[in-house]
Amino acid sequence: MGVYSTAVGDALRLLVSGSSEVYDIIWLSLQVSGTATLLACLVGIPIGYFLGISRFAGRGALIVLVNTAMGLPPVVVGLFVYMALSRSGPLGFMEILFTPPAMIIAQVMLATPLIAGVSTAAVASVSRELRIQVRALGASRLQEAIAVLKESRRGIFAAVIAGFGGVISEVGAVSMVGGAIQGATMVMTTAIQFDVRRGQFGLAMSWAMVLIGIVIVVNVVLTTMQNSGVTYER
Amino acid sequence: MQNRSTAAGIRQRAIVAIIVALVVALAIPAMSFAATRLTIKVSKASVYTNQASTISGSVKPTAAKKTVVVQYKKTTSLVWKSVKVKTNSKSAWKYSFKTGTTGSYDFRAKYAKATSAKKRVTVNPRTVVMLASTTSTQDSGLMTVLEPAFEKAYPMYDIQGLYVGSGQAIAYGKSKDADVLLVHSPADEIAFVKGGWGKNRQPVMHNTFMLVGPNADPGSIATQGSIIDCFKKLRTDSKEIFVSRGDDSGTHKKELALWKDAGYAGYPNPSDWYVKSGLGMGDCLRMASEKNGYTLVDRATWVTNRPSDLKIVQQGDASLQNPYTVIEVVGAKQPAGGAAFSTWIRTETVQNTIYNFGYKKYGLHIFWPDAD
Repeated sequence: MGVYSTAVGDALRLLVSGSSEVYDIIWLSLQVSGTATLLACLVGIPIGYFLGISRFAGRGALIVLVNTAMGLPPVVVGLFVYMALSRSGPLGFMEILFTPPAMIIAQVMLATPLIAGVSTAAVASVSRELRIQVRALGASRLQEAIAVLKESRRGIFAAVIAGFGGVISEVGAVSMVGGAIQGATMVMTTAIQFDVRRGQFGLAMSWAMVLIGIVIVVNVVLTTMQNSGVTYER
Repeated sequence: MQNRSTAAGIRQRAIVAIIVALVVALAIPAMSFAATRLTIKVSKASVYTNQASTISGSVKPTAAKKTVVVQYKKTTSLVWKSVKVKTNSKSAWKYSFKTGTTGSYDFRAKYAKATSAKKRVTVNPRTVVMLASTTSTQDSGLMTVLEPAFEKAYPMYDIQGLYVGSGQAIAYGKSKDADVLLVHSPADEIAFVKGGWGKNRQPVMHNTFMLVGPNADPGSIATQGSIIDCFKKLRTDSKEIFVSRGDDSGTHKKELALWKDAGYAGYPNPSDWYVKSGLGMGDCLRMASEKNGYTLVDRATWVTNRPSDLKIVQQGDASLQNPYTVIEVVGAKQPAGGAAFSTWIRTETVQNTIYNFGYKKYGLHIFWPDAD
């Protein structure tokens, strides 16, 4: 166990080292994964809401599609995005390959199915009576949606947590479309990979601990938000 | 009554005292600010983001030390790079200096404009030059030395390195996602240039490959005469584990050539003894160490990543040369940047840097310069 406790100490030393490179990497990870999660929420939650409440032919097939996409390996998504953004690819004119925006695109594609899938389940579990009642009270479609999403917010937050956790810890997509360029597109996961490759296991372990620590902090915040306003339900 | 008026008087006096204290508290810094005149001189009005520019400042009257805050404004909000500043704060940088002294500051604020009360420095964005190279150049630490040196010599360029296997690096050249390549896979390089994807292929440096294996050498490979014999023995015995890169990298291609030289048509099939790892060199070396097996390794990775339970089994053969060349990508996004890197890395100064790289730390030369 000595290696792990040493790594925790090293991780703390890394955090207080004051090295701008360290903070840049952490900040870039949070920026990329945070933005990606946010964008994925904007797309994924409406999809989840729509799939959760509506009844139409082909809904089952769509849910299967979303659930399949939830399991897409990051490296596959990375490859798709790389092929599209490469200068010889269809979107090459945008010239954003190997930049943070490209990493965000890849992570949005990873997180959207996750968020959509989990929120579908959350929205579907809201009882039909609530919607009928809200409509009967004269609510508009938007007000109805707000009421349903409020009711299912625990599930929605779980979706956001799953989405963020999924993207901040993946390495396949960011390394493929970001290129792990030092000082430009290196994030925490690719830093771990790089340090392992050059035999710096100690440094890689401290990065791993920093990554875990940050995910814990973010999840504490999100879980607190998830559990706040519980009294509303009673 | 008497009591009440006394109380009122005390209250009044207290209020006056507080106001006076506030005025004094506010006035002291304000006065010192007014009395301290800052003059900032900037040696150049326009610099590139990584170019050092001298800021000389004087503070009057003689304050012992003063922190000068110069703010920059973003000139574009095109990409996130616009807010990337290598300083202690994102929106302002501080450079503290003593009266009468001169300080210099690296303007690393990309796409930013530095302003001060007196002078304004326009920080020009640098042109990104994409270099695709192999993991061995990064993992050995060579590029950590060369990248900043290139940017110092050419302040208008921001070199960004993609460190992958030679196969992938050449693919980045074909898709024109890289501007210049620094690779070591001769046959592929020739095909790359012949196919019209690259031009101006020039030797830069070389190191050597070597066969490494367990300290105990269980397969008695070290006693074989030549590297070809070693490969023959490994394959006929099919007993000792051999870890192959298996990733189309330069080292992997070299391994294929050695099997061919040993009289075999292709690779051994993946089996109990022949492991196709698909990993980078450092990982592959560690796998050989964990599995108590043999592997072909380049000198740079060996010197910098040596596992203690492995030793050199065979080296020094002329066929084990590992030449690195620089190739400019045809139709690159930044052809001028690629050409500049190609020219620069072959200059005498840089060739000397390459030769001396790692000598202090490891007592061994890792790369030998090859440029004319």
